[in-house]
Amino acid sequence: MKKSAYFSMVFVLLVGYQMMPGLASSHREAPLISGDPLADNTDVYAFVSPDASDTVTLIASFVPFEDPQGGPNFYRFGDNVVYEIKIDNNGDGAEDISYQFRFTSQTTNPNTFLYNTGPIKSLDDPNRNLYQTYTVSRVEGGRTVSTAGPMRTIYDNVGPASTPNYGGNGSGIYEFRQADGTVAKVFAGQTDDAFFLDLRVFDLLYGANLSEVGNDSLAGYNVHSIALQLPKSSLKGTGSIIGVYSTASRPATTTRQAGSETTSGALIQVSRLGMPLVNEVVIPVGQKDKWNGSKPTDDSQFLNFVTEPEVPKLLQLIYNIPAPSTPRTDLIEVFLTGLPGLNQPSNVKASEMIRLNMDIAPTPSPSRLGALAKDIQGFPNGRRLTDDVLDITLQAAAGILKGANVSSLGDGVDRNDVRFRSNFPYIALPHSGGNPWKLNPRPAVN
Amino acid sequence: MNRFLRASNLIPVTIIAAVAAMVVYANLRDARRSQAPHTAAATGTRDAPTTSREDLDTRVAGMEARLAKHPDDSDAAFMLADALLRQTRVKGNPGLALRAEKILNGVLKADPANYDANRMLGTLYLSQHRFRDALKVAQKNSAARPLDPVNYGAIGDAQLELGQYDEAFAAFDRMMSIRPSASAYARVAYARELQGNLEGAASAMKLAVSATSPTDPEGLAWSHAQLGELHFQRGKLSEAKAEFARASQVFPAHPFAVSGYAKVLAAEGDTVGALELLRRAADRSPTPDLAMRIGDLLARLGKQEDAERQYALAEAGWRGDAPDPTNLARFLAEHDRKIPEAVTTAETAASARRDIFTEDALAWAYFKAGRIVDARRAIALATRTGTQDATIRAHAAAINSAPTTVAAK
Repeated sequence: MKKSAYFSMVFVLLVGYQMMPGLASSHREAPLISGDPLADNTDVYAFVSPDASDTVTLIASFVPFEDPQGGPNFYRFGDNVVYEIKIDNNGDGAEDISYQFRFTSQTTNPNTFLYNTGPIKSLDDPNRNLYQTYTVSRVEGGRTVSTAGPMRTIYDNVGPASTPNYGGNGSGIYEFRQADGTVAKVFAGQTDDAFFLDLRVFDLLYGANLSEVGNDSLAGYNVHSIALQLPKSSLKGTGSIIGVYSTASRPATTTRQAGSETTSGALIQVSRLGMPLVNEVVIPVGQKDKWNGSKPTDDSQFLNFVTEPEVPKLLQLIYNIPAPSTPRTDLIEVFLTGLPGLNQPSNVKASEMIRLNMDIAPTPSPSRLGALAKDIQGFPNGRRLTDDVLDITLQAAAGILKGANVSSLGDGVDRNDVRFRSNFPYIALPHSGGNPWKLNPRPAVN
Repeated sequence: MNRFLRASNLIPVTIIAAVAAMVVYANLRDARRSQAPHTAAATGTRDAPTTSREDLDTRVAGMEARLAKHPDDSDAAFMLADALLRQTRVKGNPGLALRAEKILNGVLKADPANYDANRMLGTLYLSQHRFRDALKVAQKNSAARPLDPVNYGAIGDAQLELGQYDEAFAAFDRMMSIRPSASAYARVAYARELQGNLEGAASAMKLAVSATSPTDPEGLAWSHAQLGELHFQRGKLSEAKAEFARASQVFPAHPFAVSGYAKVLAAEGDTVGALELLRRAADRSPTPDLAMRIGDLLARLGKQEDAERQYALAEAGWRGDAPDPTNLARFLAEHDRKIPEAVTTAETAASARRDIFTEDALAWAYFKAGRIVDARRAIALATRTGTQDATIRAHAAAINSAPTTVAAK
């Protein structure tokens, strides 16, 4: 061996040994910290239907930040997730009625991964290769009283070539008869993300300039929504005020399982949402796992985060807006009990959910500031799609219900990026993957 | 090129190739171990970046630029470290993990209690096979946030690698009971597999596939490839093939997808096709494991000299892996090379961890050295979880039927 070669080998070995700790990486490692957007509840809406005032519309959205162009086979509901919209109709914090949605992915042609094998023109178009069916069950006191389905979700808005005339025929609405004989409507599938806010508001609370706001961070994104239109009579309990929230649960499996079960394990709640922004703004980061697995009946454990809220302290610190004195009983009413004389059930147990007084008739001219602008049909009485919940919540946190002069406080985003529909399911059609408006002029808004 | 390949240059060229193999070693290293975790912090969560190959590259570049401007931006540091760890897996470059470690340590220096950084540090230690360090950090993190399921995943992953199976399975069950997720399902799947429950493992891995975020193609490819492995072990070749194909469709040319698909081809008798796939994978990122497999296929084709060249590469690569010598020991014993060294190397490995794969390497080295009594003791430990791993089962059969007086090779 030549000397030079020998030296280079020694050198190589030395280098090799010096790098050893780094060589220890393995490749079989399972992801450890994985998000679960399929079970991530983004928003819940509850309002008396404007065009059918003897009914209430309940909407829950999941799968945040769907990019319309993000690949049409990407977005769906979770197959093993149980999605629920829960109703407390006597104010005791416990669910009295639950509507459970279960989805099953199907493939028309197992030999292709394509979302569609030609233009999709209806829910059951054979060109629709990957699709989901679902059932919806009404559960009362833990007992299933009726199940409708299987039905099909509306397909994603892939683009004009794959999904021409989207939102026309087969708009994804089904009617089903309930056990009490009433007829309900149901919808499930992709929609626009109806929440409008400048997400930077969370960032800016921590020390930047609130004048920088004004961009709808969720403009142009889609979500997957489930929606129900239910006769008021099928929801009434001791009174006309109902509490509404939504959950997503996944089945637990165990390491010692002998057989080949799939979804028979105990259901574990992995996501919970009622009032908007509570999870984001009220519950501290370190408590979120606890929160997402918790029940409204146990909400007294989170009471301090409501009565001694963080946001007003930050507003005072950064923007010199005086923080109202604590404990904040006004916020207990907004978030936990409903406001007396408006949406607070008698004998209410403090628990976090949207509280809707079904007796208040829809107004033809809703105000985005809802009850703060004397439009008592709106948030925090229920939640309509047009309610500017970020501004209302910010002003409430800053003490507007205690007389503070903070009515100009807001994120500068006053309405959704696209118009809501005037009929069920109201929430806007999803942005098209072939024509995402992010690349186009902003359409007319309501 | 011909000039470069002259005989006098062959040794330096081989050495350079060996270095390349060592340096990029991380990926595709050995089949069974460390199905355990590492990963991505923000992945799949609200407003999180996706994990496609392009997005990972973009994120690394973007976060590096952000850090250059604002060196104390811990969010950027965190995202960068996460992306680097992901790339370590798909690029097979452990240098990326070292960079991630440096960045994380920078964050922790400024803010020692930073929970997210500490959590990712545990992940990083796992990926570097510093299992005791990982366990310590994960236990500290779990004391800080007892309801964060991720910590139980990290604790269980470390215990699994150390051979503390009962404790590891309990940690995974705890993780699941707090919050079922793709991560938890994948761990339950692996725990079942280790216990020989392949059908149960496959059903849990299907749950992992269905729970993986649509914005995490890397994770999704991983889950599909794992499911493919489980089908393969159950002899369901066409199902296995479909899963590997799916993995590659989700994340083009994901290393596990390619090597898995090649494995099916080889099992179907298409040695040439398998060889072609593995060679292409090795061109992208050479690893000792790939070199060994390529060598095995070449040997099957009767090309002993070519096979030997690949084995030399594999050996050189594994020789560099001092923190975790099991692979070297296993390789040497399996390929009848330097058996005395295989024994001492395996003994060194087994002094640090008692997982079934290390015990198996030890057993096989003893067997090849003619130490049947020692081999029997070790193989009993290697089979203690009830694993149906084909290699371990074959070793156990050979060892247990061998007369204790067999002559050393």
